[in-house]
Order: sequence, then structure tokens, then C-alpha cells
Amino acid sequence: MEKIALVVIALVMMSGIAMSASDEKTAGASVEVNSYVSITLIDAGTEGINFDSVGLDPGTSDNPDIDQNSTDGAIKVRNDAVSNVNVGLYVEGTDFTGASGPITVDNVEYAKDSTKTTEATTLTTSYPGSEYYTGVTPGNSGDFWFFLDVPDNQTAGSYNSTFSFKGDTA
Amino acid sequence: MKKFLFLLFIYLWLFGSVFAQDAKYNLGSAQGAEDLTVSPGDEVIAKIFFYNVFGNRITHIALEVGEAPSDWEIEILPELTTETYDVAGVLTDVNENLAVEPDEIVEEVPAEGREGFTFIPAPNVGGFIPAKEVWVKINVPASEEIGKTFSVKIDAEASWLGQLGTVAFKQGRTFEYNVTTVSEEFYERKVTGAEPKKEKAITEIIVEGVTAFIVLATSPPGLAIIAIIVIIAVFLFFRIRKPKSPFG
Repeated sequence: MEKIALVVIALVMMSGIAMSASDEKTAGASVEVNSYVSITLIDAGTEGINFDSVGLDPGTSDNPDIDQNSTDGAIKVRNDAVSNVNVGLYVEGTDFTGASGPITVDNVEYAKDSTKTTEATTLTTSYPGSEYYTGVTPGNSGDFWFFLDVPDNQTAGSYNSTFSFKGDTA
Repeated sequence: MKKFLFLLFIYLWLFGSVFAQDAKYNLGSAQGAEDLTVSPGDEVIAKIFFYNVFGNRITHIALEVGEAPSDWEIEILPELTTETYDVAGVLTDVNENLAVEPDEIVEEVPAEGREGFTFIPAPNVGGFIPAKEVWVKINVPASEEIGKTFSVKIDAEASWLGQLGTVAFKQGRTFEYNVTTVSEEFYERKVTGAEPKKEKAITEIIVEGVTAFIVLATSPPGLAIIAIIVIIAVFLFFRIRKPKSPFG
């Protein structure tokens, strides 16, 4: 009987050692992957945006860029293949300055087609709160069609503006 | 004469083709970790890499601090300077931190490297991108509270010279960082008052012991070991009960 008791005690002790040896341990690990964003503005045809080659009359509206057509916008904004994130695309602009008094940027609209039927939006001097093109994947692009209204009584002369594009991680 | 005219035609055709390319304005960037840690009174450096492997115009980049705690010192290197460029015979001044010329992705990093460039891996397409480094040095005041997270934003604006037309193009991009202040060395100590020592009742000790045993016994390794002990105990029990031989 004593021998049995000794054997049982020994086995219980061994089981305790085995249990502690099989305890699971955890360790935290983390990694951060670098963010690559590469955006290319592709300007086909005549360089820059030109709303007319011979001049525009005051009081005219929806004057398009001379190079945009039914398939291609005035500018193509591409999320390049080396990007490892999807991006949302935004645009903002400055007032046209020149001969006399500005042509304010709210005289410009942009759209996703040549007839302004898809999401025509008024251009602003700061990036809008929400993206115009959403989730553009690497290798893909979004086209912008632009249209200008010339205010009545706008003084004759040359006017210039700057349009800025942003590709933000979506 | 015919040969001359033919060669002249070929030359003009090639020459014209080069300049008939669509204008491509590329701003490429690679940002490291967005989450940074720094001790009050110390400095942390974040790196941003800029490249231009899809464009055919020099990309001029100006950087500024868009957002940061008011008493923090943020330094961007290289610094903003005014540079003069000859653009088709016209001298033009540009405010920039750096300019990145059109370049190409390479299959391997050159053994001798390239001065002023860091070659970074190109995701998705393979190879390496020649890039220029910008350092953002963030200095935190010694009086800053530990354990808080602050937002730092660096705004980049890319521009291109010699653009024709009524409207010129630019690109904007913002690099965001979450900077958390930490103590210089790790320590842990109890802050609340010591709990009064509680004498455990004997019943509490027994309950805790039984609970611990149940938890242990119901885990898979515990069940296996208990099964082995039971089998051995039963075996030994039946050995003891074996009737003795009447002959001793």
C-alpha cells in the first residue's frame, strides 16, 4: 500500500512539471508597411488647359477645354502601378487672374464626361471634403472634363489659373 | 539630294515625335512609419522619399508644416530655397526643397550607388526606384506630457515649369504622423494606495485550491495526465488484490 502511495505521489508531481512545461506563452509582434503613392497627371494634346484657341466672348458658358472629347478628359489623373494603396482623387483651383479683375474659380465646373451629365461639380479654392473619384486602384485613372463660364462684361485680356490635384489614400 | 531629303525627313519626324509626347507630371512618394514615439526633450526623425519615374518633366517639390503642436520645433531638410532654372531660354525662379528629374526603375541597385539617391524597392512591379530623401526632424519640448499622442502633418506641393495654356497644374499631398510621447526608460509602479492585507479564511483557500485543480484537470494535457494516473492506480490496485497462494 505504501508503495502504491509513493508511486501515485510521484506521478502527480511529474504531471505538475509536465503541465508547467506545456504552458503557452505569447509575445506581441507588429509590423508597419511603408506607404507608396505615385500620381501622374497626363495632359494629352495641346499642353495645359485651354478653353479656346481664338478667345472667348463674355457671357458664354460651358466652354470646354479644346482637347477634351467624348472619351478623354482635359487631364487624366493616374494612380501609378508602384502605388500600394488605393487613392481618392480631388481637385481645387485658383481664381483666374489677368487683364482686369479675376474670373473667380466658381465659374469652372468639372465632370466625369464630355456632356456634364455625370457629377458636374463647381470648382473651389480648396479641396472638397469628399473625393471626386473613389478607390482608384494602382494602374488605374480618373479623367476630368472642365467647362468655363465667362462672366458678362468681363474685360478683354489673358487670364491664368492653377488647378491642383491630390490623390489621397482612400 | 534625295538621300539628304530622306534623312532630313527621318530626323524631323523623330525630333517632332519626342516633343509631341503627352506631358506627364509625376509626383511619387514613399512614407515610412506614421506612428512615431519620442521622449520629451528628444528628437525623432521621419523620412519621406520622393521619386519621378513616370513623368517627363522635372518635379519641383516645396514642403511645409501643415499641422503640429505650437511649441514643437519641426525642421524639414533639405531646406526651402529659391533656385533658378533656364526653361527654354527663359530664367525662372522656383521655391523648392528639392527637385526630382525624370528617371527609371532599375532592376538592381547599382553596386556603387548614386550620389544623392536612395534606391527603394518598387512595389507591384519589382526592381528599385531611385529616390531622394527628405528628413522631417521633430523636436519635442522637455515639458511635454508623457503618454499623449499628437498630430504632425507635412504638406507637399509639386509643380512643373514651362507649362503652356491658360491653366497650369500642380499636385498636393499630405504626410501625416501620430507622435506619442514616452518616458526615456520603462518602469511600472503602483500609484493607488496599498490594499489592506486580508486574512483568507480556510474555506477560501480550499475553494481556490479546488478551483485551480478543476481548471488544470479540464484542460487537454491535464485530462491526459489524470487518465494515465488513474490507469496506473487501477493496475496497482488489482495487483494488490491478487489472492495469495495458499502455499505462501
